[in-house]
Amino acid sequence: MFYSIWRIIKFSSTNIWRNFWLSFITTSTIIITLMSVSLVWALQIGLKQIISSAEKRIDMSVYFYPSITDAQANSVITALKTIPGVQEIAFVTKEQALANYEKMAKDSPELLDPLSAIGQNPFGSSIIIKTNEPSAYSGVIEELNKPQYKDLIEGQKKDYEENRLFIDSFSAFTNKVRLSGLIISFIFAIIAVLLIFNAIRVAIYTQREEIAIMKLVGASNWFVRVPFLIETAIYSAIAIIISGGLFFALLYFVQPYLGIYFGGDVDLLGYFTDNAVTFLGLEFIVLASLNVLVGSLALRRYLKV
Amino acid sequence: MIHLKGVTKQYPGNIVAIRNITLHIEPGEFVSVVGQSGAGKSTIVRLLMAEEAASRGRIIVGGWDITGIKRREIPVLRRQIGVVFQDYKLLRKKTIFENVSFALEVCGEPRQKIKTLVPQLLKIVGLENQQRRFPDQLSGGEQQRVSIARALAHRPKLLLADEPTGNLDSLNAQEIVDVLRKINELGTTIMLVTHNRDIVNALKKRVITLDHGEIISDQAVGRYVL
Repeated sequence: MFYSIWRIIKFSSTNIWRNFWLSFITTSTIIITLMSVSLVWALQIGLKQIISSAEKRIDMSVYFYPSITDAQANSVITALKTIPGVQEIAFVTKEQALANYEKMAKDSPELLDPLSAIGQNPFGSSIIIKTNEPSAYSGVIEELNKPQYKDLIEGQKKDYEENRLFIDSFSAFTNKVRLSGLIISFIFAIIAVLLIFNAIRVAIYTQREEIAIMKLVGASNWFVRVPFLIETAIYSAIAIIISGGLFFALLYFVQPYLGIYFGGDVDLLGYFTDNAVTFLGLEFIVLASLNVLVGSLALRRYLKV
Repeated sequence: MIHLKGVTKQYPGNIVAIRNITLHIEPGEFVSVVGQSGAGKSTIVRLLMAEEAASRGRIIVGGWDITGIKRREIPVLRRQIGVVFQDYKLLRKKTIFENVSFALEVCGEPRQKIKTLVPQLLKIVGLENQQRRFPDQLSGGEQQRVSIARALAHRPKLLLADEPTGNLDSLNAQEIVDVLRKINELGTTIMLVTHNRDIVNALKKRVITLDHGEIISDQAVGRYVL
């Protein structure tokens, strides 16, 4: 048994070296496929980060009439908190609203003068609502459109409708982007599987005569099959190391430019560095399983000697 | 050593390769099986190696009834029979040494034994100085001698030679037959499948003649009669 294992490993490594061009082409095909899969994966993550950042920036401000007390405003807040998807409601008092205005207009006396003329705080309190996802704003708008809030909240129903239209179309857009990303990834995964399937089949096909000879001189199926499977596992490991190296080098190069365009919202280098073990491990597991499956299927045909 | 009892091999489409063959070969014999192309000579070799199964009849090799041999037992059978092919069937990416040692490695022979035995086998066929070369660097006759060395690796009691001189010139062909004769003198049963008239006539050994899948003659000291 020990002899067999040692010999099988020796056969595999010798075979890779002696079939240098075949090994080179097979490994290169796997590297290119893995690079493409990694890029699609990165694109998907980048899109998610962009969408999530855009979603975080959406909020909805509701302004109360100046005559409304904090207690009345709090009753609205309580009602809104019961709506599914509402994540956070920040309350801005009349005093804070005035202070914010004064701070903003401190260098513009023409904006501050009217305040002095009025002689009292003209601002009402307000709330800033954030939800988990854009679609949850529909529920918020529905609640605010109820008749009991008509005398509390400034603005017309039309404003909410405009908000609703924007939020709904943004929601639909992000959903479409997500779905397209998934479809592209799925199609690409199938192409990748077919490419790898073919690369391994070709590698085995070119050695079919050798397989037949091995069988004719008394090699068992196991003795023929395992070196080929180890060979493809070595191709996979080399391909993952090289494609992983190239991919991280590319991210390292591209990340500063992503930072310029998207600020800190898109951090692909950070994401893939944090998830490097999962990312490379998953690639290896999928590739190794594929190799064993394809290798066994392709070999079966030539082992019938 | 070999016992075929009423063996028939029929392929789909009602093509009969051999029909109701019965023959018996004793241990230590040197038997030439002759016949024209399509007579069924190579079919007998394939049946003896369990490359194919007989449609009818019984096949016994070295006391082992291989008629209904199981797939997992085939490697064990092949390790007991040496086979030499017309096209040598050498592993192109392995050296001469590795080609011969491969036959021993598949049986799990220890490395030390392989290191000692392979040079001895290559010496028998006169290739002891070519161990590190690859098959494509050798002539046809030399490649066939490597094939014989490999066939002898298991020290088989039976050696099947299927048209071993088919791709060789007369000088190389004679050298191969001389090697086979030497191996036979050491006690190995040889079944030589050939259609080389000169070789068969020069051997002066038992000759079985096949025609259209049937034995038409079996002479103890025979000649090529077709």
